[in-house]
Order: sequence, then structure tokens, then C-alpha cells
Amino acid sequence: MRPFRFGVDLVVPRSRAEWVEKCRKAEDLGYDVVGAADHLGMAPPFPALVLAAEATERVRLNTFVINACFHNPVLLARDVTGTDQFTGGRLELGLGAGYVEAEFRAAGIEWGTPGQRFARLEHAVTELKRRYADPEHKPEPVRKPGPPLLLGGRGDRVLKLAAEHADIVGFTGTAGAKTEGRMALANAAELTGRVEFARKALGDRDAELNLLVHVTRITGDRRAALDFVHRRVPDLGVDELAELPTVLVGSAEAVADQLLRTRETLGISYFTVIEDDLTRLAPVIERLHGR
Amino acid sequence: MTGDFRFGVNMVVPDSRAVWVEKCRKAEDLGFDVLSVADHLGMAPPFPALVLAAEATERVKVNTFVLNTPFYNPVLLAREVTGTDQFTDGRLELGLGAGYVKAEFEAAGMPFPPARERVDHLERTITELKRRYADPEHKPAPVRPAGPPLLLAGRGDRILTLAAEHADIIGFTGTAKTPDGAAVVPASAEDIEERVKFVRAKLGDREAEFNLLCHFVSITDDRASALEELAKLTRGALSVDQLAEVPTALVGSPAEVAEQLHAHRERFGLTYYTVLEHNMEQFAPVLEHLR
Repeated sequence: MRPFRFGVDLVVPRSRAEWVEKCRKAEDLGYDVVGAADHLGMAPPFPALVLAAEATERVRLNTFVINACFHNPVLLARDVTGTDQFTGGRLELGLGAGYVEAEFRAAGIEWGTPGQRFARLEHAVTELKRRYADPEHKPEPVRKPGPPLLLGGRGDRVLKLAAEHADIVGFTGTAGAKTEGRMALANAAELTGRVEFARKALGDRDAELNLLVHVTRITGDRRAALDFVHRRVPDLGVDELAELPTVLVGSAEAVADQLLRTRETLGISYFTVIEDDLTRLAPVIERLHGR
Repeated sequence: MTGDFRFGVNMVVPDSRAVWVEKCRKAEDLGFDVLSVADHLGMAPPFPALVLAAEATERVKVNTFVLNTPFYNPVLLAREVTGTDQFTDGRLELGLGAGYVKAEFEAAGMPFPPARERVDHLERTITELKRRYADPEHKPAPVRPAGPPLLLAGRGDRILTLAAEHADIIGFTGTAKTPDGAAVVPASAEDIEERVKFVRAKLGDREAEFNLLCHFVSITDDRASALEELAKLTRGALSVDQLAEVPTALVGSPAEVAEQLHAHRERFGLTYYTVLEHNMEQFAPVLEHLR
């Protein structure tokens, strides 16, 4: 069984000082990975990760996740290997196919079909690997064969691609059918289905399994917290929400137990929260330290 | 503090973080005002390199010199620019060009558009950047309301017209007119003066800083021999007498070069020079002299 890892995805871009402070805070709270998302209205991921690395000592830096459709693969390779060098090999590259149609429109990039977006992701993966392996490629990656690759997504094709190429398979924990304007989470059966699909595709190949945690509330009143979550995620009942590893609600001890069970049953050992939950998960990380 | 002049150094960014940090500190210690990085394949990615450069130094401005603008989607570029502006605490100066290395477009899998279309793209990009800087909803917000200082560099009529309209800093290439995509050749003083006059007429009352990429530096007590060497090096593109006049070749003792700089300021209005990294150290006594 893999040791736990915890990541936080930073999404609020303000000043240098604020960015430095929150990266240090994440490291001090025991996080293993500091991530930057790739959305319009957020920080540019590679510059942000260089600054994160300068501000910290130990944490890994990851893109969580790069929208492959937003980047020319050749220029992306330069960003990746350059940032890998500048962070002393602490970069982990997260890639996905993109999912926010409004951002494609705003950037004037063709939204296309899911198949077309997948093809661009696949092309990016192939191009990156080819460039990492090319001894002429500059900047060269710190480690061969390049920084660890996380592939994140929900659909069969992306998870198959991840099973073939990724060091880390990222599960979004989202439902298949999107409901505009509100969070749509997969229920436990759907999430388990996705994880089993990826594990089957992996076969004997070993990969770390990552999950995006959507809600964290460390509280003595679990019921009230679940009611609160239910109002934001009305598609799932309170009992269904209570089962989910994407919804971490309860005492620090109960949540730690829940993560131990999740690792046991699903094999997921790496959990990422969004910036807003940075402090909330800290007592859980403390309890699971070294396990 | 070199009077009314500014001096930048165009750095070759190495792969390694440690070497890059050391080079940046050295340039600052030698008294340069601006650290510049180019935008080519096979080199470091510019924005991550500038964030690290700013972290490694205290005072210098950091600058893209210059971006190959057709490589970038304007909306994503705006995020890169304002994010890097924040992460460098407003020390960013954005340099844009229309791109000129045909082979790199091919390597990036992009068509090499005719010059006209490359300048069209540059114009669209400037408009988009200004629109985003001015949008109070744009995140990351630029540090200064009007955005980072804009340097536009090139030699053709259209790009210099754009520069006269939009740029805070106008970058003269000091190269002669050659067919699109061909190797660059140094321009004569008369040619450069003609370009300067062209820009001044377009600028009217508007003020802009004039920058020149200085191709050749030779700090020596024997100016005559050094000019002869240079004539050989440039394979007769310019005669010794012509080279003695051009601002792209700073040749002589520190006192002689300082005199040339003052004369060039009179004739061309140039107050901001960018030297190549391999000339950084030998140029330092000139900075001393001007202090």
C-alpha cells in the first residue's frame, strides 16, 4: 500500500506575497504537493509553480491540471522541462482534456467534441514523452524519463490513457451528467466504478491513485455539515454524501479513518483539496502523517 | 545609476536553476537595469525564467526580449503577463515582436504566416492585452492599472507604426532590411537614423523610450584595430568607417564608449541599450564610467 500524500490546488491569484505565504503555509501544514490550476482568471501555472518552489523547501509542485487544449505541445514541453529545471526536479505534471466550455470560448479556442479534446490530450502526452526522450531537447528534464505524469479525467478514454502512461491517475469525483451552475458529484457506486475501470486497465502496472476532494468540513456536528453539503449538491442525498471520499465531513479522527478505508478499498492514497480547504484538512494530515 | 541611460542584458538562460540564479545576481551586481530573456525553442520558457530572475535579485526589471507573439493565444498570454507581473511585484516589462525565425514555427508545428499576418496578430494581441488590463474583472490583475510597460521591437513600417501608437519603449533592431525569414545583417547609421525619424514622425508629441539591441561590444584601448576586427567578423556588411558610426557596435575605452553613447543619444534619441550576455562583463566598466 502506498503512503498517503496530500495536495492543495491554489486557485486565487493575487500578489506575490500572498502566493508565497500560502505556499509556505501548505508546506508547514504538512502537505506534500502544492498545485496550480490552469483556468482563465487564475494564475499562470508554470510561473506560479516556480515561485512556489522558491518559497518552499520540500513540497512537490504540480499543475492540477493543465488543459491540454490550451497549449501547443512543443511550447508546453518547453514550459514543463524548464519549470522542472527551475524547481530542481520537484515538478509533477498534471494534464487533462479541459472541461469548461466558457473558457474555450473566451480564449477563442475550438471547444470541439469530447473525442477531439481527447485527441489533443493524447497528442500532448505523446509529444511530451517524445521530447523528454530526445537527448537534443532543451531544457532537458531533470530526471529521465521526465517529471511524474498525472492524467486526470472521468471518461473511459482518458482513464485508459492514464492507465497506459500516467504515474498518477487522477479521479475527478464528478458525475457524468453535468448540471449547469452547481456541483455534480459522482455517487459512491459511480466513483467506485471509475476506479475499478482504471485499475482493470492498469492491470499489473503500478500507479498512484489521486482523488480531488470537493468538500472538507472538520466538525463535531456531522449531520449539520452534511445537510449543508446537501444544499449545495442536491442531486445526492445526505446518506449518499456521507459515504463519499470526495466529501470529508466529521471529526478529524473520523475523516482520517475514512481516508484509511478509502485507501484500503479503492487504493486511492493521494488526496487533493482546493485552496479554500487548505487549513481544514490540516488536522487530518497530522493524524495520517507517516502512514 | 547611469544618468539618463538604462542598460539591459539579454541573457542566455541555462537549464540549471543554480546557474541561472547566479547569473542574474551577477548582472544586477554589475549595475545593469534590466534582465532580458528571449523566446526561442531550445531555450528556457520566458515567464518561468523571469519569475526566478526576480526572486534571485532585488532591483532589476525583468523583460521578455522579445516574445515571438504569433506563438501565443492573446487571452492566455494576458494571464501569463499579469500573473508574472504580480509574481515579480511589478518588475515586469513586456517585450513583443512579430517573430522572425521560420524554422521555429515549423518546429512548433505552426504555419509561418507572411509578415503582414504576423503583424496583424501582434496588433490583435496588443488590443487584447490592453482590453484585459483595463478590465477590472480580469484576474490576475496587473500591478499597475495600465499594465506593465510595453516594448515593441521590429524594423518594418507597420510594426514601428504600432509601436509609435502603443509602446512605452520602442525597440530598434539595428538590422538592415532583408527578405522575410533571411539571416539578419547590421544596418548602417543612416538606415537606423531613417527608422528613428520614421518613428519620431509617427510619435508626434507622445513620449517613448528608445531601445537598441547592441550586437557588438569591444572594450579596448585600441579602437581602430577592434573596428577592423569587427569589419572582418561581419564579413564586410559594413565598412570600418560605417562601423565607427553605428550604435549597434560600442567599441573603445569606457570613456570613448560613454562619449559614443552621448553622441548617439543626440543623433538617434537612444537611451536604453541591451547588450548580449557574452558582453555583460566587459561592458560593466562603461556602466561604472557613466555613474
